[in-house]
Order: sequence, then structure tokens, then C-alpha cells
Amino acid sequence: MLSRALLTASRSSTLAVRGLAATAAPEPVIEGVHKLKVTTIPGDGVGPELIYVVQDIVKNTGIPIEFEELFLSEVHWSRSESLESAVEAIRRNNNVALKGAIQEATMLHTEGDIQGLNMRLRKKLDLFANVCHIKTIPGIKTRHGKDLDFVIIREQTEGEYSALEHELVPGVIECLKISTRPKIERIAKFAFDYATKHGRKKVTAVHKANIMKLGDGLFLRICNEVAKLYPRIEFESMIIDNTCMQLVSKPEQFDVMVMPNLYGNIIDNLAAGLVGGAGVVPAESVGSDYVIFEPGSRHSFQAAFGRQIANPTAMILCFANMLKHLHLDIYGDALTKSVLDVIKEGKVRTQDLGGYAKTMEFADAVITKFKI
Amino acid sequence: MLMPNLYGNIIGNIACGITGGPGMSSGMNLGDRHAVFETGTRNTGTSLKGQDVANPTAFIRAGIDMLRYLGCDKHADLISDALWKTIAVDLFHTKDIQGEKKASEIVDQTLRNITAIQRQQ
Repeated sequence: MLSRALLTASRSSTLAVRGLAATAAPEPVIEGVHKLKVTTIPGDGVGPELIYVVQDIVKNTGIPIEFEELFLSEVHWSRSESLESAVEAIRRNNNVALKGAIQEATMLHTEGDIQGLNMRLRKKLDLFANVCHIKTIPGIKTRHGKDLDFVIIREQTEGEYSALEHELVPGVIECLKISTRPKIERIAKFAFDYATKHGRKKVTAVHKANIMKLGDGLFLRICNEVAKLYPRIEFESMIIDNTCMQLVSKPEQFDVMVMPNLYGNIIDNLAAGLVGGAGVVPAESVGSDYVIFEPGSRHSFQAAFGRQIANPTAMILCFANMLKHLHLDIYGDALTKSVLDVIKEGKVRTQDLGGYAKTMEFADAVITKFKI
Repeated sequence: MLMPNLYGNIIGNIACGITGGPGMSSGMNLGDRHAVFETGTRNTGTSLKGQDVANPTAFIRAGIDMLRYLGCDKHADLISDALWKTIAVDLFHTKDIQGEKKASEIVDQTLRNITAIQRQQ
């Protein structure tokens, strides 16, 4: 306890300066511990329960984080915050947010706009890269039994999700998939920089350039160009169908994967299934100025709403990654370790991993194991 | 499962990957008047050319599908049963399914099984 207080006190001077610079009025400092403020966007379905788990863990472990909650919803649009106030809140709170899945509404209340709230948020904050961490967790039995450790980098502001669809003639719909040189260069460079920074050896570009010769052809060409700037990193390209087949038979061959929007969505979920499902994979949406931490598999899981059966592992690991991003590595590493220890021990297991524990019981187990 | 073009490509490959790889499953292309039978994943397998290691199962099954389409059920069943016996009972496996047999050996064993089944009938 004393060592933790000393550590936070030593941080408080630098953090207080940052706090003073960022806000108009200085943050109230309680007991010499300066807390970092982050935004949470609980979303729909089990999102709020998972965010509550994180808040509970923070309350019981003394992690110096304060939360500002934002209600963003497409289904409950009349009660939702506006996108502008959401961006303002994130900007105010260290440019990071912890987010649950926002359910896409079947009918949007905005006239003439078919782009959902999730996409609009990502475009507004320019979160061009989604980084999904696929890592085998000891204690979770998988069909293949292999040790996986790879990263999926997905371009998430253009491609098939450009919301450009129209019906020229009744019964004939045209959907435009947009591929632009600047955005592809950006995501390719991001992937190689990520690989360099994290000591990764290989980048695999996933595409369907044999069919979409111009769209994915551009993607492949630019990836090849950018690869030449990183001679120490091996580059290979693979067609999406072969990639999927390889993922279910020999997933250990992958290291860093980079791909356009739709393939990223599919491969994120496929890979999540390989290591334990949607409840265990953390990810982050990265932009030049902001980072939003959210589970890799974006499912609101409406069926589990209020039943306390959802697995909070993904959300807790997201939060741990956020702590590391905010240079609170000691807390982040300790939290990651406690989650992995709980799963490895196997005594407290949520329903998706074959157990009977409730969401909050898993949270309690993590709190018990948490140690700086 | 029913789906549009791209998703079918992706899901088809995933399904083949789970059930033994590109050498095992067959696929058919059906229209109002014509039908084309081929391997399930449309892999050319260029790297395996000329080495007698490619798994012939997918292509033989495509042939069986074609016979069924043409109404030759008896012959289709005969070849299908013989092939099944080769793989599941005699355990003649090519490299892609962790075996050591050559493609020609699979074919020969299947022919032997066809003769054996015909003799029983």
C-alpha cells in the first residue's frame, strides 16, 4: 500500500501539470493521488454490464482512473448524446475512451443518411486503424490447441463501409466500395510501423485483387510499395479465401495482418473464434489523435442483456491496454496478469467458456488476484 | 446456408478448411441449363504440379456429383462407396491429410475397391 501511494505521489506532479494545461480549472487532488479521466461509452446490450465491471475493478483496486460516462445510442436516439458532445468529451478526457458495442438500428431517424453511429464516430475521430490482438490464453481449450499470437490491422474508414448505396432501378442496388491511395498508404504504413515497434517479423496483406482488380489491386500495389521501405520485415500477400482456409487449419503462420474494412471484420471474428470467442479478444481503434479501446468482436449480445452471463475478459483486457497507453503500465500489467491468472486457474469461468460464473463473480475473482 | 457471392467464397473456404482442406470437398456450379463440376475451393495447386501428391478426392467427388446430376446413381454410389472405403477404412491418405500415399495409389486402391464391391453385388 505504501509503495503504491509513493508511486502515485511521484506521478502526481507531472500529471498535475498535464491536468492544468488541458483543463480550465485544476483537477481536485485527493490524498496526493491524481486520477486520469477517461470517457466510457457503454453502448447497448451487455456493454453497460461490462463497463460496470471495469468501474468496479477500479473502485476496489485503487487504479487512478476516473470515468465520465456517455450515452451514445442509435436505437434510443432521442436520449443519446450528440456526436459532437461525444467527441468533445473524449478530447477532454485524455483523448481515450472505453467503448461497448452500439447496436445498429434498422431504421435511422436521420433522413437520407444510411451511415450508422459507429461509422460516423470512427470517421469523425478519424480512427483509421482497428488493431485486434489475437493471443492464446492458457486455460481456454481450443479446437486446434495451438499457441497463437498475431495482430489483425483493419482499415476502418473506407472500403465497403462507405455507406454509398443507391437503387438506380427498382430491384437493382449498386454498392460502392471505395479505395483511396492516401488511406491505403496510411494503413499500410501503420501496419509496418506497428510490426517494427513490436518486434514482429512478417506482415500479410489480405485482399481479393484477382476479382476486384482495381479496388483491391490498388491496395495490394500500395502495400507492396510500402513494404519496400521496411526491408527487415517480411511481406506476403494472401487472397481472402485462402487466408480464411489457412486460419482454420494452420493459424500459427500469421504474425501481423493488414486488410481493408470488410475482410477485417470477417477475419477479426474468425480469429476471435480461434482463441476463445467474442468474450476474450481486446482491440483498439486508433487514430492520429484519439484511441478508443473496445472488444475485438463487436457484438452487443442483446440476448444476454441483464442476465450477467457475459464474459468481461475482453473489456477488462481493453481497459488494461488503455492503462498501458496512458503510461500506467504498472496497473495495466497487473490487471492483465490477474485476468490471465483467473482464467488459467479455471475455477471461475463464465458461460461462454463452459462454466457457471456470473459476470460480477469473474470481476470479484480478478479483484482478489490483483496485486501491484 | 444461403449467401451472396463474396461471403460464399469466404465461408466456402472456411468450411473446407475445417473439414480436411482443399483436397477433400467438391463443388458444383448450377444454372438453368448447364452445370459445371469442380473442386470446392477452386485452388489451382500450382505448387503441387507434376509430383503425384495432390489429393484426388475433391476431383473424384466432383465426378461423382456429375454422375448423380446425370441420373447415373448406381455408378455414382459405386465410386462413392469405393472412395469412402479407400479413405476411411483402408486409410490411404495423401500428404495434405497427414498421410504418405501418392495420388496414383489412392486411385489404384479406389479401382481395387470398385472391383471388390462389384464382385460382392
